[in-house]
Amino acid sequence: MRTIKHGGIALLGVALALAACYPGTPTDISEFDTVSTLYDINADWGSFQTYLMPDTIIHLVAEDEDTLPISRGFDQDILDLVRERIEGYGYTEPLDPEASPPDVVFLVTVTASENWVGWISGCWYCYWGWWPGWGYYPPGWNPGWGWWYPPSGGVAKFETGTLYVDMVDPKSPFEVAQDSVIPVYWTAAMNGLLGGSAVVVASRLDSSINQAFDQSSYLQVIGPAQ
Amino acid sequence: MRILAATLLLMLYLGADAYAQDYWFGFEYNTVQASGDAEKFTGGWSWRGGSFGGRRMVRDDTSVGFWAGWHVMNEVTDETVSFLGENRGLDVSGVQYRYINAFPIMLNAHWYGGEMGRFRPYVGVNAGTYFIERRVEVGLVAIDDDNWHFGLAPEVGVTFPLGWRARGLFNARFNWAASAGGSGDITYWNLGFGVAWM
Repeated sequence: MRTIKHGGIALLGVALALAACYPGTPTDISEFDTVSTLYDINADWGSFQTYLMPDTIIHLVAEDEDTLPISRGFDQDILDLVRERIEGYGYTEPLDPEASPPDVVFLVTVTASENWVGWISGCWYCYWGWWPGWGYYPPGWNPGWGWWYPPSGGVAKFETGTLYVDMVDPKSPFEVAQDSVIPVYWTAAMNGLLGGSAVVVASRLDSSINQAFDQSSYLQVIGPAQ
Repeated sequence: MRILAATLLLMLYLGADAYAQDYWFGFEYNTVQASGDAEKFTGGWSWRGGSFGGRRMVRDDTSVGFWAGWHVMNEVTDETVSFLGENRGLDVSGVQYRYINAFPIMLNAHWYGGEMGRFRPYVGVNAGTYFIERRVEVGLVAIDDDNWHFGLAPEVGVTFPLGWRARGLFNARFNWAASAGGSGDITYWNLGFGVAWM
């Protein structure tokens, strides 16, 4: 009993010491939400005027990794808000994308995992290759093409759910180490703990998406849309 | 580490003479006011701090001793943090919990006015090291770094008799930790309220 008592006192001491070291802790699940936006500073910001966005959110759930299933209950609200913010910055959808391919494509992806994962890379075509919109961009697409972000060593921890919005430029493929890639000019990664009521989750998604666009004012279209 | 070893040796030396009236040992409650880059990082005022120390009167108006403590500065902010690299920019927003935990371990010397056993103003200087941890928590990610800094802490204060061989202490220090390990200078003030036994 003495050992247990002393152990309890020691644990209490450790807890008090930690609280003293790090006073002020999150009191709400939303305080764990983070919004990161990575952008290419060499992109010709302001010159992009037209866009397309698939009407589907890809849910990344790999069978051989520690990913978690995600509800599709929020997909339409997410797409609606992302589209609203894109158009709020002045982007327009071309009337005939086949005749006049848009300057950029926005892609929305979600994932939930308990692992450390880097910025999305690798087999993007595995997830987005089905989209007919790629057919608007000559020359013909090749599933072997890679995905090119501005050079970055960033990684993020996805023990939680993460919503991505990527802005890619299919018109400008180029070669990196003998592989063809297309540039990703902008990526927003909205990360947060999974949990909370539907109302709370919807509110957090709304807040995070708005924050991603609010802190990316360089997305603003300059000049008249085509 | 040399300074730490020297401090421990001095404590043993003072302890050997623990019952002499020219020795005192005291505890202080400290408040903290960050300044400079520390203030930008963790905001201003903190109520979290404490320290202890010992002094040996080598003359009627002079003492030497040691001082060690623990000072916590913290702030919660939701400001967006931006990083700009050669080809990329990164903006991160979210609730950030920022902390500085500073542990001064110092030797000191003090010079006193007034008379023994009465109200005595004093000035002093502490010199030694600070172990300082800087930490940011955002989302589920925590980033921190720990460094040993050379430091100085000039001090002014007063000491006054409380009876029963005890003396009250009230003082102010300016803490300067020199840049180390990628961290710039870290500076802060602290006020001390304490009691010491002769």
